[in-house]
Amino acid sequence: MRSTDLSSPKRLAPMRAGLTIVEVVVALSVLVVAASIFCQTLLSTARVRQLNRDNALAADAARVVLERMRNEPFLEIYKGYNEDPKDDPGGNGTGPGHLFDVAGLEPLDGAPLGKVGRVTFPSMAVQVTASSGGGGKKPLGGITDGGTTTVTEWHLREDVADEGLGMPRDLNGNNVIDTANHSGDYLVLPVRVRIEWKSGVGARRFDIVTQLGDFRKEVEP
Amino acid sequence: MSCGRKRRAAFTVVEVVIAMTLIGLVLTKLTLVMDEARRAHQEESISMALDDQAMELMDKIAFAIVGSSAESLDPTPAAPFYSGTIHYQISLGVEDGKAVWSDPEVIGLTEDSGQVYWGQNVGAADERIVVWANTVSEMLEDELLNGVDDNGNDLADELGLAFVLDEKAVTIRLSLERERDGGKKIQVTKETTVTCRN
Repeated sequence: MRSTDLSSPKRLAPMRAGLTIVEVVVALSVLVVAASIFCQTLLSTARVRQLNRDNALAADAARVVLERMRNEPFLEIYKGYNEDPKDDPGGNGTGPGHLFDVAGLEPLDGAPLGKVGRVTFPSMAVQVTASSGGGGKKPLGGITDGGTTTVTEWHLREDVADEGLGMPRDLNGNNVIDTANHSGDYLVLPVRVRIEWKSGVGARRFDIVTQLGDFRKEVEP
Repeated sequence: MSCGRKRRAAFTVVEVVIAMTLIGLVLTKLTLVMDEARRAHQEESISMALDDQAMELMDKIAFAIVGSSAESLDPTPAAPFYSGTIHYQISLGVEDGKAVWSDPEVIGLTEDSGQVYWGQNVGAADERIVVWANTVSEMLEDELLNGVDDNGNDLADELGLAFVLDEKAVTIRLSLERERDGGKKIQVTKETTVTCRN
């Protein structure tokens, strides 16, 4: 019969200082969690920085559009910047129009003409029917039916419901809110410059709403 | 009976060489990555500092021009011409029904030192000159001194500060630059338009 001598040095496993598998797993888990938190912090900082840059770009672009509007003769601002290219002061399609680009900002999917910026006035599209007979001026871009032509015009209206623009309100200073087109006699012009773009955290929007006015009287000669 | 020399567990030379080679590779790569990260961080820091400085400078220039009279602006270059200097007078208010204008002021670029300065009554006894920035690029970003428009802004060979007039609106373009370690130049460019209110 073989005897087993447990006290023999040959039988003992050598004692080595080390870590158990549980300790290693716990340590690695802590390291991974710490590293992921650190990386997330870095990423979110970079994202916030990018958002701030985009916001600054949008704010500056919107302000520049308003500055360019102020550079126009007051009663030509609406015609130059509205949706209708036919009434541009310098001729059909010569105005800057209601859409604009901003370098460095990516337009949203489905943005009109792929532009990020849009200028809005209290205006609405109106179908106007005019007689095309005789020697009168022929309207641009109309649909002719018999002796009449139907064209779409954009009218500056006092009765537009747009709370953000402070509408409805009197635009020509006669103390009446009516349904007429005031594109030629406004004293106050509410305007919204909106920029919408695609960012790392989804769709973003920046609005400036203001009212342009020209209250300076021309000096009588 | 003696067993002779006792065998001890150890690494062979080949194992040591392989291990050291791997450690060397890892350390080299780590050093490169760290160096790249340090440079990127330095670039980002410089870029952000220049960005802040450029925005502040643009605001100062824009604020000065906004309060001025369009008639007082001099020179009045329209694209494709530009000027690195603009003279103006700002409105101080109305007295006895007449507008009161400030002393002549100027904002300009000193080409050889890259300084943007503001001056009042320049050339007179009570002249005042303040340097607003000293990191302006020699030329606007992506522009070369070759007689053509390299950066597609309708101006040829424009300096680091350029004013262009369109009736009452002044478009201001500004490039600031600074070198980081290794000599690479970091540039920041800003452009804005303001309309004279007076």
